[in-house]
Amino acid sequence: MTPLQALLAFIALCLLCLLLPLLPLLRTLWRGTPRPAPPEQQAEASERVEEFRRMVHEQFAHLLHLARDSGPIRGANENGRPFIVLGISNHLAELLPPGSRRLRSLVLAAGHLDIPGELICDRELFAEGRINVAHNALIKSALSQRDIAIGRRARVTRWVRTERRLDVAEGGQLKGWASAAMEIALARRARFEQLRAPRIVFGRLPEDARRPRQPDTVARFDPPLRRNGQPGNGRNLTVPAGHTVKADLLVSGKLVVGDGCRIIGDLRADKSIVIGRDVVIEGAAYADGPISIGPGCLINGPVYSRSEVQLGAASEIGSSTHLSTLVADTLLISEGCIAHGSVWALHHGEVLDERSPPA
Amino acid sequence: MPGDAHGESHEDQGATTKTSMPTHAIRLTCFITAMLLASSLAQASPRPKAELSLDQQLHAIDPDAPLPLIQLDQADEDPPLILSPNILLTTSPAPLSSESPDSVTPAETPAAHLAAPAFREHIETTLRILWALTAALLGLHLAREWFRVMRVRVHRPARSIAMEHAPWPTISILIPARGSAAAQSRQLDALQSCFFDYPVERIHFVPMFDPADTEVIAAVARLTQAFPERVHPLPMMGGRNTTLASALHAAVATSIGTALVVLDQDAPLPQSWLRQSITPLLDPAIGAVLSRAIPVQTESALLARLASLSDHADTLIASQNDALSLLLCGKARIRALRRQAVKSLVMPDLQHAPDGAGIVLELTRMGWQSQLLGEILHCPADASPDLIHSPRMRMSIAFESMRMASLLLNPHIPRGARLQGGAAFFSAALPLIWLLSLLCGIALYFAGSPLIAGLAITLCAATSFDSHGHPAPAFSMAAAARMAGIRTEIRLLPLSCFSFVDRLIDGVRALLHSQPERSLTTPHPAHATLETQTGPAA
Repeated sequence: MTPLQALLAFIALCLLCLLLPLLPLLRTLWRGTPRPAPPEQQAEASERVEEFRRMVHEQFAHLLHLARDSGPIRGANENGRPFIVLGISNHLAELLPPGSRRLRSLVLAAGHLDIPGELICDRELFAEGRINVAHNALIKSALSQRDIAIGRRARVTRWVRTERRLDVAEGGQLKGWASAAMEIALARRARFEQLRAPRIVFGRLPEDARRPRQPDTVARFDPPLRRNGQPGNGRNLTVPAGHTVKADLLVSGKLVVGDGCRIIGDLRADKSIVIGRDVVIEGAAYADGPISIGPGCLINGPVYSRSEVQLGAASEIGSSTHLSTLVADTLLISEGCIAHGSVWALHHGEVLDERSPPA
Repeated sequence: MPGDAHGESHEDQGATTKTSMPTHAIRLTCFITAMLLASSLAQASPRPKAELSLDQQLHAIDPDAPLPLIQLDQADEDPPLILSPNILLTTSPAPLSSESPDSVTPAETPAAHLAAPAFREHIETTLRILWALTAALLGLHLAREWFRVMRVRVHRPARSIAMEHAPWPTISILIPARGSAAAQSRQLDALQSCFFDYPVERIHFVPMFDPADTEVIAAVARLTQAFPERVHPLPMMGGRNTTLASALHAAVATSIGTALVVLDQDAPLPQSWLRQSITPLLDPAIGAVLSRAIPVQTESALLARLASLSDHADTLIASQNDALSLLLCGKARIRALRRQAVKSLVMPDLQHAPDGAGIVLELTRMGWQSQLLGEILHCPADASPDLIHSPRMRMSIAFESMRMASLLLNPHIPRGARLQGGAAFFSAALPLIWLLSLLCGIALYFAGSPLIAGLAITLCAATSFDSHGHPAPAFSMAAAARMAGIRTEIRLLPLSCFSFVDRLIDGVRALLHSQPERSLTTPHPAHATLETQTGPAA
């Protein structure tokens, strides 16, 4: 290699390194049409529900009125997508061919709608009456002006909205967004992601749901002193049982609240929060780590964790007058718990089966 | 001399034969590793004392006699593989002379001929040591960036969270006075019909306006009529309330509630921006929320996109740490944070954050730490405390921020601020390290180490500059863009400098066409810089 060649190779290497950041630029400049929005930037589930409701009202109101008198109507819209409109006394199972396992039609019912067991519905369901989804069925979306009942091991993959009450049987799954105007009740081993209702009941409520009364005497809690007699920035903090604290508790480590305590303020821990039995928190609880809430607790404010929240039996989040939010990556909720407002499990949410607790 | 060059070429030929470029990737990796180790040791394979042989040829024989033909013949028969231009410049050991070295006495050697090659060798050794150190630092920086990006990707939340039910606090929305009177009136009128996904009774408005502008006053009156008892006008009087940054004090005093939302951009607001922004504030550990306000102009002209990108480059890069938190309020909020940081340092007893430096931490994330902390201790007397310069506009920022080394050892500064000062110092030193490594690579190339020079150039390219002037790997910026959802725009970052050139040309053109008396009213350069920072995208 001659010196000239070496010099040229060196210059070429330098130019290549300089032009390397411009390669993605060329891709951007040459691409004409923008990509579709990612799923997280698409419309929210509530907007999609309202859009579906508007479509039903505009396009199928007349067909629903006709089906009440003339019986079921089958057809297809301008896009070629089939639909079935059922009357009040019609049943979907009568219209399906025997042995069919998959339904690709949009189903609308003027009365009640019964989805047979082990049927897969690829389109949305709408009923002016009650919707009953039998066992092992799989539906995409459901909208009802009455109650909706999800059978054992049945699944909803996108969203479900009812104007009254939503019941999920044992082993049912609610993937996506579920909303009820009055109440959502989930049986044990039911799985969920996003729930919104004024009252959400997990599992069977205990027969004696009375909350123990707080003692009238207020024990004063003094945090342990650190360096130079100052409270300092303690990493961990433990509130002994039976104390009342009127302050926000912010720790950079682990926060432990003993049994029977009453906290008037917010809790914030960088690692984890462990709350004992029968604790009343008039505030919020935030943690980057897991939050463990004992049985019989009452938390008025939001509960937020980036990791996991374990809710003990007969605990309550929010109240009927002050709705709250429970958000965590993983939600493991014991039977007998009640939440008011929203419950979001970003990855996994399940109602624990107390008869066979996980190891 | 020709004889010197031929002798050196023999040495290079031998070295090149031993270390010829293998084709296999593994062998290439081993070779590069061996070269790195050799360069780091800096003493590997020292060159022979070429000057002694040179002196033998120069002085042991008759200077007027021609060189032996054997040398030229050998050189012609076996041409060396030359990889570096220094071959023509360096000296040769040339152990080809038939004369005995004993016939040469050291006293006969000229001092100049002894000193120059020794000096060159020292220089080369120093360059290798320097490059090894800078390469190690850049490599560590590269590895750190890589692991940071990987960690962010692993721990990235599945989706952004906006709580639906929470004890929403009362907030005050500060509407700065920007643009013409018609634009301000239009903005205020638009707020009347704006949809807020927030309890309306807990929203208060603090519109800033010029009392001399009757059109804006009428718009403020209409806003007050639309939201009775929830509008708190803030006239921008002369003096302290002249600029937006200085008026923030009065805005904070005028505001009602526990949160202040500053609408510092003219970008169209998304649907659920308010609840999305206020939700993190419910966390007691969060003091400021920065939301995304980056207008993505995919349909506009390229130059407009570049200008917009240049304006928001700080916000783009700020998303490396936490992509969920982008800038809602632009530079005005940064200035407010800086003011708080100055107070925290000047008055340590006045704590605004639990650790005393939480606000400074926010500044560090924004990439403004070099300038901010550099001015905290050495604030010029004539500068306004609200004035803040952009690091992109001042290239000497790296040198200025080197003064922050004193922050590391000053015991009178709170610990958190000391840590942030140290972090800012090291981040400011990175551009210098980058430049040093690049210069070492170039110098090593001309000193006879082309492979190490190639490695240096490659390493510098891998840690190329971002818009802040900090060396940042390309994948780091790409990850930030992906997390911010603006992958298309951030690819234009290498071209954002052209927008600066375009503005410069426009400025020169405006200067040439301006009237002479108008140039007297040109604002102070520092103020012009401030306007450039705070100005919205065209």
